[in-house]
This record gives sequence, C-alpha cells and structure tokens, in this order.
Amino acid sequence: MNSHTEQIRAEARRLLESGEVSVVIGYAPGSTPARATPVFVRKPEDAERLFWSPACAANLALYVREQAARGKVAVVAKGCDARSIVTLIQEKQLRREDVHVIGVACSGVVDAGRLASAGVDEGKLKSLEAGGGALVADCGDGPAELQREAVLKRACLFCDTPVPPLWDVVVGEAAAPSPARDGVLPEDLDARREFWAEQFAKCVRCYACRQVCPACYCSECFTDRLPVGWVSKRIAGPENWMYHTTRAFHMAGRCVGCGECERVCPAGIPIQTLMRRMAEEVDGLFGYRAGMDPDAEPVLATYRDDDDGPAG
Amino acid sequence: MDRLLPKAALKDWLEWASARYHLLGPVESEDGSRAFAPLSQDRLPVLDNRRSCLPPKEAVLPSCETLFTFDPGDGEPRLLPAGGEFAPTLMLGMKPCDVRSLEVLDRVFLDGRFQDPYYAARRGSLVTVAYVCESKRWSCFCSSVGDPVEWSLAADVALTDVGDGYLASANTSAGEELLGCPAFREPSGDDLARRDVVWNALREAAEPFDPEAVAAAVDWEEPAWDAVAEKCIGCGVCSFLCPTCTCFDIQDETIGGGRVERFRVRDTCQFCDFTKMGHGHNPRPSRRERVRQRISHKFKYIVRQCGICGCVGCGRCVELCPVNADLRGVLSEIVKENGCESVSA
Repeated sequence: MNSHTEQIRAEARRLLESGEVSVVIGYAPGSTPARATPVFVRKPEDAERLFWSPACAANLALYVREQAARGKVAVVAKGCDARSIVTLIQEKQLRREDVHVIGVACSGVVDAGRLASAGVDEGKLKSLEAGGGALVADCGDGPAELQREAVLKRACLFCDTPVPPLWDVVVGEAAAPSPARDGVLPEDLDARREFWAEQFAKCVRCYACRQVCPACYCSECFTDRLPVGWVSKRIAGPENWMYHTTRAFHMAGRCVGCGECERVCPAGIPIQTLMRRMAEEVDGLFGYRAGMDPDAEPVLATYRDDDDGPAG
Repeated sequence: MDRLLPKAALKDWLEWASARYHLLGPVESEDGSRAFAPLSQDRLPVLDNRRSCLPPKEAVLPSCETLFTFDPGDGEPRLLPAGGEFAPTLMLGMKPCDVRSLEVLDRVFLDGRFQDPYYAARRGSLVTVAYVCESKRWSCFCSSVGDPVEWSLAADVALTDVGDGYLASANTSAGEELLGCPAFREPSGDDLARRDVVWNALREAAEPFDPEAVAAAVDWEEPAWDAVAEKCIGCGVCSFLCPTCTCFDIQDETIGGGRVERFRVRDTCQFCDFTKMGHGHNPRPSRRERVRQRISHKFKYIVRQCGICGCVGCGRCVELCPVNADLRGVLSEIVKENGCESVSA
C-alpha cells in the first residue's frame, strides 16, 4: 500500500471519528488496476475502502455540490478537481466551510481507454503504480515503464496545476509541471472548421461530456429546453456543432481542464482542445484562469468600469 | 455446411460478395477506434475480439431517422414517406454478442401485433456474417448470459479463425449461397478440430449466471439502486452504446417551405427528462429510479415480456462507464442480497 493511500485513509478516519464531516468522497479500486470508482465513506471503519493510484481519474468535485447540501463533506481532490471546487465556491454553489479538501499532488492519471492503443492488455494488468515520475505497469511479465504520453488522460499532458490551489490537507509532492502545447488544431481557419466538422459528426449526443463536468450543474440544460428549441434533438453534424460550441461558450472562463469530458466521450472527440482554446482566449483578454482563487469573481459574470478590452 | 477460406483469399471473397451486397464490416479508424463502415478493396475488415464503439444496431435502428415529411402543397397537403430502398447489405465481422443483439431487437420490433416498418425494411435486407471471438476481453461476459457459439450459428455464416484461414459455417440458405464463392475450399479434419477448440474456450464462463435467476432476484426495492445511483452521473453512455437498447424520441421540425419533418432519434431512460410528462410530473424523478429502470428492464422486464435476456454480455457498459459502476458487480450484489449463493443457477 502506498503512503498516499495511508494518509488519505488516516485523514478520512480522523474526520469521520470526530464527526467533522458526514461523508468522505474518495476513490476505491475499480474493475482493473487501471480503473477506480467513486466511493462515499460514512463510517470510520469504511475508510479502508479508500485508495490512491494513477487510476484515480474521475473528478470527484462533481459530487460535492449535492452532497454538501446535506452537511459538511470531505473530498479527495487532485489539482484540477480542487480548481473545480474553487469554481463552485466562486459561483456560490458551495460554501468554503462546507468542504474539507484532501488534496493530492498528482503527476497525471491514466485514461484506461487509451491502454489498448498503447499495447497494454488491460485484462492482464496486475498492478499500476506511479513512482519517481514514472508510471509502472505489470501485465504478468514483471514491471515495465509505460510511456506517459500514450496512456495518461490527454488533459494531464497540458496540466500546469499538479498541486491543488485549495486544500485543507495535502498529500504528496508533485514534480514541476511542464505542460505540452496542443498541436491538434490547424492554423488555417478553413482547415480548422473542417477539423471540427469532422469531429462533431462523430458525436452521438449522449451528453456524457456534460454529465461528467462539475461545472455543468444547471438543473435544466439549454439542450433540454425543447419548446424553445435552442438546439434540436436531431443527431446530425449541424446540430451537434450547435451543442458543442454553445457548451464551449458556457465553459469559457469556467473550465479547469480536468479532461473528464474527453476521457468519457465514447466517440473520441478532442473536446479539451476546444476548451483549451477558449481558456486561452479568456486568459488573453482578461488575464484570468478558472478555478485558482476562491475570492476572485467569475470573469464573464463580472462587469468592471476600468475594463478596456480590445473592442475599446 | 462448412468451408475453409484461406486468409489471403478474404479480399477475393469480399470482391465476389460486393457484386451482390453492400458490404459493412469493422474497420479501424485513425484514432484507433473500431467502427462498422463500408468495406472496399482499400478498406478491409479487421477481425479480432475488439468490439466496435457503436454497436451494429446502427444498421437496423439508426440513431437519427426520418419517418415522414409533411408537405402543405398548394392547398393539397401530403404526407411523404421517408422512402429509401434498402440495398441488400452484408454485415461482416459481427461478434457473437452483436449477432445475438439482433435477436433481441427483432423481438421488440418484429414480434407481436405491430411490426416496425422502418426496422423491418432494414433488417429484411441484412445478411449477417459472424466472427467468433478467439478470446474474451476482461469486460466480456457473453458466456454468462448465454451460449455465444449458439448465437453465432444464428448468423447466416459464422467465421472462426483456425490459423491459416477462417472456417466458415453456413446456417441459412443465404449463407450457403455466400459460401458458393470459388475462394472457399473443403476444410480438413485439423481445421474442424481447431474450430472446436476456439468454440469450447469461448463457451467457458468466468461467472455463469442464469438469466431466470437474476430476473427473479431483481426487486423493486434494492440497496443496489441507492449504491449505484450515488455514483452514477446519469450520462447516456451505457444505454446509447448498448447493442440492445431501443428507446427513441420522436420530434417534428419545420424544414422550410411550410414543410415539416418527423424524425426519431436515439434516447435513453438515463436522461432526467425521459419520463417527464406533459403535465410536469416525472415518475422517475431521481437517479435511483432511473438506475432501477435500466437494470430491471434489461434483466427482468424483457425476460418476462419477450422471453429473452435483454443483455448480451458485450461489456461496452462495463468498459465505457465513466465511474466504473461495473454492472457485473451490481448483479452479483443483487443476487447475493436476495439469498442466492452466487449468480449461478
């Protein structure tokens, strides 16, 4: 058992024994060593179910808003997850005092869906561990180092917040970030339009990207407003485009780049490429990055007299 | 009727078949995903145990389909049928679970008093060639819900990889016609023996379970519903990608010139507004009811109504669930909770 797991369990036990929180939201081992599943621990003796490994891909901030409405919660949070929590606090969806953040310094998590293409047979995987910045997997033939670029959640390759910006306790130390540059988008605008047309044509409108996003908490999404008809239910290129671009605008200045949308997309659409582009725009125009400071005001919901944007 | 197709002759067979059928088969796309797409000499099928992302039900139940168009005319309104002749289509490389899923869909759309004419038209022009998996993926549980070899033999032809070639078994007259291609030859005793090895391995189940026992165990009140609902995020992935899920929504939309198009699109009981009624009430108001619905429908209601287990054990939901709410574990819990020792009969 690694020391991260020990520390998370100890903290959970302490919080539940003292009654400081009613639930600890964390990860439990999943169906294979490359997967983890969310777990809601309410009794100190159940803290044993918690663990930490590079398989802990999900953004647990997704559950915090609803659970915190019933009493203080603790949540295991990577850098991106903690940024989601900051966003929820900024948008008054959560009070700081209602969440105890068990931060984890993270060097990237595995996207189990990428293993097959990287030549790793998930069915034979015996263990998956991170140590000294390397990812090591044993498929029965002994430990072998995995190529990070090939198996990590793609968003992790662009991460610049390996340490949560908000925490009550923090576990582990992360290496200094060295985010990659996203070379996927063509420079030429016509080629770029074609690129997105091809990607959105793959969309099956399952809305997994929206459901998995902690920032998509609207009780009624614009896609559900059928009488108004913001976007048709038709599953076809133009309508899919409408859904994705509208959502991208709703996420501008709010998306923290956790990459869950991209991980869960069954059609393999590079949604984060679009979200990163929006984040670049917002940073360029307003010098603002989502989810870093709980006291900052949401950038696109705030009017400033002294804001002399490029429109003059 | 059994014949052997040398691997090198696969494209000859496809060329021969393409004169008679529009060909669809599993191809690998640039991003490494697998999909059923039109085949050609430059685009040969990949035959192995990887499953396609979108299940083959797309060929008989497309995710978006026009039902008819209304044209107001000049005072003479008309309803125009969707039209479209469906060319005879050969779907090659369907895994046993894929083939079985058509059987489940047939019970829903073709049996009973009302036949779905759109489904019937596409299904009627479809000829199926199964590819019997040489091994299971970690998430597969086909042999727990049935006999995948028997399922394969419900296809017009079943192909098994026996080393240098594919042992082809024809199960219908359309299948026998397909094996009339000169690329096929008589199989040897060794070929048949190797096929039996593959078939026996596929039949082995890690956790055999009797669909009837599960159907009996699934109950209206289960701790499992709350446990799963707590982590389920209500995305549509399990049902959208399920080969046997059939739910659809129907919408009318104006398409210009006063014309209206009625179309149907893929829908899922996991969406929060799926059962929202006109007067505002929703009998499945929370994730708990929706999780219960999905599992009960798949493993209890379909068994009772159609006499067939609704699940084919393809494992897509297991691999694709964003929160790894592994269905196999859930069923195990339900059966144990109801006093059975294990999920086996």
